[in-house]
Amino acid sequence: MRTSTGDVREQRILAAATTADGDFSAFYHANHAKQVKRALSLCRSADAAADVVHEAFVDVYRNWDRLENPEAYLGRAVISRCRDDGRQASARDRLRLRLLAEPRRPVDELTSRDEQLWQALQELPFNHRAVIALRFYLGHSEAEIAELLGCPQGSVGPWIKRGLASLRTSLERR
Amino acid sequence: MNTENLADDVADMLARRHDSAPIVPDLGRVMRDAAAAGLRSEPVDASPLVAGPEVVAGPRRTAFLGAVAAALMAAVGVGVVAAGAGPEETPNQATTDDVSVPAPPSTEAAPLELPEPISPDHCASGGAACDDGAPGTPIEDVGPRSYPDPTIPDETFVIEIDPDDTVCSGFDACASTTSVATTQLLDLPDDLDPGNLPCAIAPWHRGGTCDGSTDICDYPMDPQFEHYVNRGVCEPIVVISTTTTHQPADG
Repeated sequence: MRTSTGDVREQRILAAATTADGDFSAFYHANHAKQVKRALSLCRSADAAADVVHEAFVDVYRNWDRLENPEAYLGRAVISRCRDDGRQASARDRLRLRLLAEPRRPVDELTSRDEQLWQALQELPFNHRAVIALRFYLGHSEAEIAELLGCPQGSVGPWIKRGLASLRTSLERR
Repeated sequence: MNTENLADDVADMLARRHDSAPIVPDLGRVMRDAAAAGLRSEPVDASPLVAGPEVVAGPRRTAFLGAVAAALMAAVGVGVVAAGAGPEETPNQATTDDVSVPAPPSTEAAPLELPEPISPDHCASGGAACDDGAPGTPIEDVGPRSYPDPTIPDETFVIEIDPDDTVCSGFDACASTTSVATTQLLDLPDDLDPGNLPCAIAPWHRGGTCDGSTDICDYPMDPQFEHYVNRGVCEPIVVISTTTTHQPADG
């Protein structure tokens, strides 16, 4: 089998870098699934989630030699990027849907309860849907959520409460 | 729709969503992209979000950078440097022809790429403790505020919003934040939701619910706007109109 120059080069990079710091490789494989799960629950699309996780790991890798707690750094990087993803997407969506008076997607187009739930969740402010996902899906404590979101712990409970209330209201309209 | 067990329903839905969208690990791509980006960044900002107390300068750094540099040099055909020795220039041992040798990757400081776009003066003038970790000076605890705040001039600023102008690819490009910050806002027309005004209002008021201090911190804050901030909790902000510019409330 013929190996291209690019392949050889890539293999050399990978081999040397991985050998030099196998810790990162282990760290990557130990944390990838967890961060994917987190990103999928917070980003608006699977593609965005994949990008978010990838970019966060690149950031960690680039700072690997200086991070005392790479996992904490990684977790925050993923959430920050999900937040940005939501901002950019939601700004466009909201403007399109409401300021320009485009009709909402009719309920009968929603084919499942999951879709309705997902849509309703996306309408919440990021912090509200983040705390709901982190608490009930990923099982984080309020203290852990506060750490991940970089917010006071006292904000988490009210956000959960308001988020669920908004979600319930939104679903009952459908 | 039955919403009795909403939290469980959400968790179940997210689990099914996760199962239906497998994302496979690709360590090689991470390393390639890191290499393309220069492999190392500036010393990480000491803010909690970016790295906080976990940032260290230790022996890992030298060994890691030296090894990565060696990997890159090996990949482009440059003589290998001993791991940990740093990117010293070495003769090109791969060829004897008159081939220009690419410079070894610099380990000098390259611009830092933070996990999220943050302006240098982020939160410089406000933002309750800037608890999204952005650099800046936390504002003092202003304590509870009444609303409308009596210190805000009794004027009505009406902002002009052109939907085409307010579509923001990223919030950074929006210029209307300051306009809104100086607005004494009273009532909201039924057909206008502040959450629908991206950039201008969304950071502080999204569909009736404030996102909290982290969003407040996302913008260099106009001092006038700090009156609306109570330890990072947003107070109601409502747009009066979307038509003209500035007019006194009492004529």
